[in-house]
Amino acid sequence: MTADLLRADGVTLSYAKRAVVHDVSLELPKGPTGVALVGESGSGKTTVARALLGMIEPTSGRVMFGEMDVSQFSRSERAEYRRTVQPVFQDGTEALDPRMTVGKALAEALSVSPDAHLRGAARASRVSELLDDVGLDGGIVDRLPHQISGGQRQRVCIARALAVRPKVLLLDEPTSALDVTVQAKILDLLRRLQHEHSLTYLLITHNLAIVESLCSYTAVMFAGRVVEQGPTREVLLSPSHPYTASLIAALPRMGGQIPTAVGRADVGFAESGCSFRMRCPIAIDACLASPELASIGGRHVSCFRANDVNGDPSIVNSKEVTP
Amino acid sequence: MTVDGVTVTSPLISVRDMRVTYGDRLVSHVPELDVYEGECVALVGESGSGKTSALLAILGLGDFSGATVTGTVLINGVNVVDAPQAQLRRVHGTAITLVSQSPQAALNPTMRLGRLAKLSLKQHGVRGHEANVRIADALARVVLPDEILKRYPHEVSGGQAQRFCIALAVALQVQCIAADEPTSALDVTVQAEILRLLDELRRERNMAMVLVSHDLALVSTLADRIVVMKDGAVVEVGSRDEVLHSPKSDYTRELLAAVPVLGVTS
Amino acid sequence: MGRYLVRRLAQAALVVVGVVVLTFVIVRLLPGDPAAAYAGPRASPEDLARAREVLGLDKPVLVQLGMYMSGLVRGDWGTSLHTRLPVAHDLSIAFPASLELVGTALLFAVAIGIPMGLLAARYFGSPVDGGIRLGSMFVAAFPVFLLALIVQNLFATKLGWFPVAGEYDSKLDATSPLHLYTNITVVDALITGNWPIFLSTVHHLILPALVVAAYPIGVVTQMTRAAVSEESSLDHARLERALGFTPGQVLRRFSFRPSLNPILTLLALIFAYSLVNAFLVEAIFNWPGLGKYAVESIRSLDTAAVAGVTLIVALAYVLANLIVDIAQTFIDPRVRLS
Ligand SMILES: Nc1ncnc2c1ncn2[C@@H]1O[C@H](COP(=O)(O)OP(=O)(O)OP(=O)(O)O)[C@@H](O)[C@H]1O
Ligand SMILES: Nc1ncnc2c1ncn2[C@@H]1O[C@H](COP(=O)(O)OP(=O)(O)OP(=O)(O)O)[C@@H](O)[C@H]1O
Ligand code: SF4
Ligand SMILES: [Mg+2]
Ligand SMILES: [Mg+2]
Repeated sequence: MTADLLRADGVTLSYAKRAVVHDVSLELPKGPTGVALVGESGSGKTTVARALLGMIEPTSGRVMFGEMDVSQFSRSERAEYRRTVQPVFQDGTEALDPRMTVGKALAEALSVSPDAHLRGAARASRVSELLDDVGLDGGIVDRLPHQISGGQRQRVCIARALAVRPKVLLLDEPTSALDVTVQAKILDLLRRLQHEHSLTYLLITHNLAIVESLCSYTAVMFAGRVVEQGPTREVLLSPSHPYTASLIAALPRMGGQIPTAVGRADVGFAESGCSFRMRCPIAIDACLASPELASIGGRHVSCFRANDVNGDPSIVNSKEVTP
Repeated sequence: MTVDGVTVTSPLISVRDMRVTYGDRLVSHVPELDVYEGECVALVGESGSGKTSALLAILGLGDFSGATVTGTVLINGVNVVDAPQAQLRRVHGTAITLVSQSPQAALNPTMRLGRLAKLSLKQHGVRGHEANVRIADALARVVLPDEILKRYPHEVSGGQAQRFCIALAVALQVQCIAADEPTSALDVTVQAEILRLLDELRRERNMAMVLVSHDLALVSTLADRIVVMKDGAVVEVGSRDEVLHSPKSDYTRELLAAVPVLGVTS
Repeated sequence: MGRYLVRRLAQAALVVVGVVVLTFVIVRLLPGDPAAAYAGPRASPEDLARAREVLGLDKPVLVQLGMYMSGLVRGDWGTSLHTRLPVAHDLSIAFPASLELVGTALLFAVAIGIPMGLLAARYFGSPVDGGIRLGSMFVAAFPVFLLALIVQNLFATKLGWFPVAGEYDSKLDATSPLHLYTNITVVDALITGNWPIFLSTVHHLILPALVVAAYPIGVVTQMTRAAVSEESSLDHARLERALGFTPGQVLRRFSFRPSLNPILTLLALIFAYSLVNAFLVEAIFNWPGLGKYAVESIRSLDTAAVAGVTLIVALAYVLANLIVDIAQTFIDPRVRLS
């Protein structure tokens, strides 16, 4: 028995028999709450989201929606689940039907929502309310996806997901194409909805600075594995895994130098032992073995030297010679 | 041209009174902008303010989305606004190329990445061994394994797709990269690599850049000059330091204030 | 991929069974008594009863269906009432002739429709595009029998460029007899190197095939135009332009392939439609295809033959769809996922 709304239970996920996500567990509790999934490009974040949506079946492990296994759904259960869990995909161009105007796309979403009974003027006003929420003006309804700007497309996707009045939103880079002022507006909206409707968010993002405002819990992925997870403030402000530390060191700072990418990303990742080994500035011989995701304080970290990192991001800059 | 007794090379790109309209709606107006070799000019501003429209017009691809472009955009002496196709061929992929906003959609869904790379180089007369070497070199620079060439766009992650687009520009050895949100799909460590790469390309090969981004913090690390846009108009142009430290327009100040900072919840 | 194939095959099999049941039902619903037709106009009640027994009409309907199905599988498609020959045999002659005609027509549709569609897409919105669009609408909407009569009258009767009717010059049967393998005359003539018959057949084929091709040319042109121009407005085309490809190259090398899928789906649909649409053309050009056989069968209430024709058209349709679906997985790698 759990209070989790949606949960990945040790899932391994593959494309064409190539496993890209290994043994990942993630819990999305009942809202209002948010879980952030951050990490390297290609580390499998979107893939995890796809699995949570039932779009790919785990090769091992399960995805649970309440007490039900997502892969064993009946038709009506699936419909219910589709209404409860809504995705906002990374790439607005791919997610929107190129032949469908913005207005049509929203109307279609409304037709499966609790607002399906709305007709005529009431429906139109709901559409314009949705557009207004995401800061778009009503004139956009007659345009096709390729006739609007990248940021506008992204906001249409958000509006479409919100139209369904879901309980869980899977947000894959929801603001990556938005300037900071619009982003701030969207974040405000999401935060307000989170509290008003007790929503749960899974936020996938490269923008660590926006994580905190929506998510109290954060998981960091590297090479298909969760390497660190725990309360957002702890993970991001005092990281315990060298990869998390390098993420934070790589954030661009206003007016600053081009940030140093620590542990150059071109090295790739190790196939055996700790996958971060080849880029890790503090690797030791023990790292030839695979570290377990072990609990340290309030969080889980998979690193033999987690205690040495201990919240000090600058460790990744140390020229320390490994023993 | 001589300024204060110093000889200045002529600009690579020179924009004068460029207007982009859809129907009768003016979505972007750039009165004047010069981009020199090795220089990075950034266009920042609100979503929908006309940055992408301006960038495409500068590329001579305004007609692509049904926009009407007026004014002049000189690249290597060719006015791309109304140049015939024969002349545009000498600009695209040689003087300038694009790195787009939506990474996966920017790549043809039915073509393996390797074939696209080969075809692109062949289009500019580079083939055989030379082409292979250039492609391998470019992939190494953007931190992608060679094996990626065998994949289709839907088989790579968003970030990988974007890095591949940058690799194409590197392999073509263009003089200027027009980049629309080149790192919005990349995580910060890879983003840092890309910024570094773009910076190196700028230094080593004197490559120019027109960079569209909504991310002021990112832009501030790379750009020499910043153009701030709002509602289709340029509200401020200045050197990076001028814009960041003594912004003249209210909108720029608003932008600067809204940048989220890790550890400071807004 | 393997799983996709298995699922697709299972689907096709299901459709075939459905069609078999449907043809069976339709045939039972046809007016008239097949036993009476079988026994002849002056049959006694005993003759009728015997005919009933021979045709299995005295058994329960489900048993009849079962007999019908197991017969089909064994290659026993019943006996035609009007030719008094096995239906399977009749079809094995008539169907290849139709296939020859419709296959050639579809080749024309692809060879003419796709380049026309590409041309229209290349000059989208220009007078060239307008002209092509109008032309394609016109040929697609023109009634096929009228077109057949006009074309036959003009190019065969008046101008004498083409023979008026038939599949090939039958005098050639004496001088250079044709060995049959596939029963498709052009193919058999080609593989056995029987050039006189081959050339004669091609000469006879051109007019009726062009007439059958009119509708397919029109719709393939329009579909190509729509699909390719939409594909050329997507983000990837923008990048391709910026890499230095001309709009024409973008169209041909980059936008055409992702647009092929809807075009192929359309072709499969048109194929089945054209098989039937060709019936009239076959009648006018005296082509020895399914058309003549079907008309005769319907006129003489020849249930087994009608069912046979229906079934073979349906089978051809299912097969065409299957081939298209498999081809699509090679053209667009994204299809393999779904
Ligand atoms: N459809 C697919 N077929 C095969 N491999 C795929 C497919 N989609 C993604 N991959 C691979 O799976 C891995 C994980 O991809 P995923 O899209 O989940 O990464 P991500 O963490 O979301 O990255 P990004 O931040 O760049 O979007 C990558 O190595 C990618 O190349
Ligand atoms: N093909 C088109 N037809 C009509 N209007 C368009 C088209 N493309 C863009 N627009 C409109 O032009 C304006 C400017 O769009 P543009 O894409 O240049 O914005 P942008 O500054 O790049 O925004 P973002 O940061 O969101 O990408 C927007 O209002 C958009 O809706
Ligand atoms: S286990 Fe070793 S190699 Fe891996 S992150 Fe920790 S210290 Fe670095
Ligand atoms: Mg992703
Ligand atoms: Mg844009």
